[in-house]
Amino acid sequence: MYNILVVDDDKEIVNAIEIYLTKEGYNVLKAYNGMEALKIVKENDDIHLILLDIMMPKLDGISTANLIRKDKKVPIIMLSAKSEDYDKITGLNNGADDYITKPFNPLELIARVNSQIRRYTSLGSIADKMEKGNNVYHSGDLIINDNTKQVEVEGKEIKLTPTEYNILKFLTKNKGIVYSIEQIYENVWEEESYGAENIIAVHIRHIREKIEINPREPKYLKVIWGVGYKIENLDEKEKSAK
Amino acid sequence: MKESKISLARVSKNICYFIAPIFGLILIACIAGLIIMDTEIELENTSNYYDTKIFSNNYLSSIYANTYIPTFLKEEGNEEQNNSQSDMIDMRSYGYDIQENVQINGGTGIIWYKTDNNSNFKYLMIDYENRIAVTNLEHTMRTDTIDEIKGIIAENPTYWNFKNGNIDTNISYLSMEEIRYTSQYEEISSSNIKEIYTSLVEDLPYRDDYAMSKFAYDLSMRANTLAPILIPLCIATLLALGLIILNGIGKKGKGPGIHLNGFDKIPLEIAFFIGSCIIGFSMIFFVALKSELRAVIFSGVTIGTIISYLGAILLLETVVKRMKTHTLWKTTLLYMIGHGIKTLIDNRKIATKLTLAYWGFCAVGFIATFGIVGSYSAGGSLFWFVALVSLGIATFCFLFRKIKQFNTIQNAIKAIYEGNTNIKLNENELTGVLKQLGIYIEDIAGGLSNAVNESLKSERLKTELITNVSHDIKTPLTSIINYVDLLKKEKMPNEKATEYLMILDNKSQRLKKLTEDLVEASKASSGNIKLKMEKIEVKELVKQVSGEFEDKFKARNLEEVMTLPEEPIYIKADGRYIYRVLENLYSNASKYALENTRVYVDVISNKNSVVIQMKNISKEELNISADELMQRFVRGDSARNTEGSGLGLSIASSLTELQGGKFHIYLDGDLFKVTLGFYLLEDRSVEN
Repeated sequence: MYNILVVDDDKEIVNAIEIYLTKEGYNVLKAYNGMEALKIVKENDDIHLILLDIMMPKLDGISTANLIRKDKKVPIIMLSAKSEDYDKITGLNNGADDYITKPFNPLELIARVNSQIRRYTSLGSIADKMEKGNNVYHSGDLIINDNTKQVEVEGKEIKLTPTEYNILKFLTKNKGIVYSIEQIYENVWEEESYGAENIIAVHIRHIREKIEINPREPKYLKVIWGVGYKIENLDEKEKSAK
Repeated sequence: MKESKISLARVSKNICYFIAPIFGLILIACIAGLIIMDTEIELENTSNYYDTKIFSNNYLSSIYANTYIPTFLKEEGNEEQNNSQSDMIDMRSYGYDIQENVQINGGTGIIWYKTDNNSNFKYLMIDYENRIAVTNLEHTMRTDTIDEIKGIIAENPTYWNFKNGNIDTNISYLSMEEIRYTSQYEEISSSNIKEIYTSLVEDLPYRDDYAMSKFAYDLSMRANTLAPILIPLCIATLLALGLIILNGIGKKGKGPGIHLNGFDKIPLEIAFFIGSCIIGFSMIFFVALKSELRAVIFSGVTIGTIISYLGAILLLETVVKRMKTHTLWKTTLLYMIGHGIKTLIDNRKIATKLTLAYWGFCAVGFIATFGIVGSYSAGGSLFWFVALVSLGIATFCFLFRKIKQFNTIQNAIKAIYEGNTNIKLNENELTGVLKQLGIYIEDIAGGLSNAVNESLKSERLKTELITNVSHDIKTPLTSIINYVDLLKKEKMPNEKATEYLMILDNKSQRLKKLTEDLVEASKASSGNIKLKMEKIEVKELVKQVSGEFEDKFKARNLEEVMTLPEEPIYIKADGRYIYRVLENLYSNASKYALENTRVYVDVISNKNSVVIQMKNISKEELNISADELMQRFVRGDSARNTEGSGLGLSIASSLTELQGGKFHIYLDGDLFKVTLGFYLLEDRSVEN
């Protein structure tokens, strides 16, 4: 059983989250400000995830995250009504691993919690899977095994149609590179584009809905509006971060 | 203490008014003496007037002038002797007194007494031949005989006698040696007069040429010796007095200010006229100079001098006071009239002024031209020609200056038009109406600048407020959404409860969307967004967005008809925000288009611009104007039953304009058409 610390000054929100997480089978610890959170983190060594509100009395979420990060590697998901890009960047730069804006969709929250727990508890699994063969393509926790035609995102298997699979494989193979609709068509169908209109765009949207937690804010399959699509090269990012 | 000091200035000034004339007179006397000496008197070694050449010349002239009289009288006498008694009386009436039966040259003769003579020069001329003697002594008991007369004449120290062709004198320049060859002597010696006795009364009691001449001479001599000391002394004293007077003028009682009286406020010209009248009036007293009585002369001259001196002081004081208060020029009638005319002209409209100036120019030009042609002399023509050319040059200079100023103002207005409200005009460069105009423009610019700043500030504050409010709304909204969601998982007691819960769920989701859109709309309309402009391919963009909405269109059985040009179309925009614009338009179409209809999306490429056009048939009747539709919170359906915040079009419009595009909505019945216009990327050919 995993322990999750939920920190928010709004007791009702904490209670609601507790209900969702308990249903998912997590054990929930509760704190109503940064100081309490720090105290609980100090007392309990086996916390697997922290959900942290930003605007709190006594000690705000950013400072709390900073203090926790000093000696803990536990994943932190920021939970805030502040929805500006600037706020998200500040949160992620101050020790948060993910950022969810209020009001959130409970399903998304659970999906993100699951993802972070999986990542935290089963590190190194990518490397294991990569050794299976050459026909494995990946970016971050997105893994495509061309031998078995299996697609896995953050440890979860995804079911795709053949066309979707081909498009995703092509983009993952060439991760980090932006391809226009025309280019994707020509490469996947291997024939001249005759003005494929929006077929590719529709497929891409479907893929995104399947592999992303929040398709509107995709993590893997990014839309560069007016230019094309790409699979974000997350390994490159991690390397440079190290 | 201070008070006494100030009144000291005033008192000392008044004392100076008394002292100044004394030194002034001394100075004038000294200077006059020097002038007389330089012009009238040859400098001689002697300090005695009677030894001077000028005196001797005068004396000789006096003798010569009087030698005629006996001759004339002798003839008269002859006539008188031969003619009637009445002639004798007539002679007396000419001013001569007669003593008859006088012993002259051993016979009886006549002595004529010239009575109207006030001269210091006394003479006796004897004509032996006709036995007539003439003298200017008074006819008294003591002057009955020749010898008595001689005796009186001989009483005076300065004398010149002529007897038997010999001269007996104590005037060195009139000795025989000195005057023998002069024409006067020849005249004297060749006349009938055989004996001449002359002398000058001691101390010159009569005011005649001799007295004046001696006075002038003595004065000059004294001036000559004293002048080197007196003139500088007087000038220095007068300067000092003048300074004290100038300092003292206008001071009165307490305070350092200048006190003006009524006289100082009347126009300067009138003040001068009054002053002149006073001085002119004083001149009347100088008529006394003609009087015989010294007392009359003295008092007349004194009164006259004092009055004119007071008049002069009055004028000096008022002029100095006006200068001290810098009102000398302003209190002149000339200034007042000029100022009045200027005000009169200034208050006219510029058109009137221009007309006046034009007619003035024409009139002067016409007169000058007429002058050139009509002048009788070449000089006159030249004068008028020069005048005409000067007029032309002056007008050109004036216009040039005005045009320069006009340009300054024009540039300022242009700057304001271009949005630079922070302008500063050099008001000293501008004159007249243009100066006023410049000041107005500066004020307008300042006002605009303030208004712009205020409006920016208020927009920013509004955005901040909306952002903050939305944060505060989001927190309770989170609880609502979560508990509604939790409730959905619970078992509901009946159908109605489930229905109500669905409504709660629906509305809480809409509230969420509304808060998000509200922040975005406020940011977009206030321009509070950082744009990252990139090269965007329009066809790709439209296809991408179309792909995103494929499902939603299908759900309502809407068919999308896309018309795209062959060649790629590049524009400059921020990909995320241009997507937001198209997303809003597609979202609108998916929500408000009539089911089972077609939605037309056209990309029309022009020479240097591109238009993205979207047309659909509205589900609801569009009974509002396009402008209204773009306003915030206005939606096509007045009932507001459908989802959406009513901010979509407003956000789309704001974002389009932020990215340099044009956003238009056209309504034609139920046809809803929206166009986005963007300029093509200029370096398109290079990029390809």
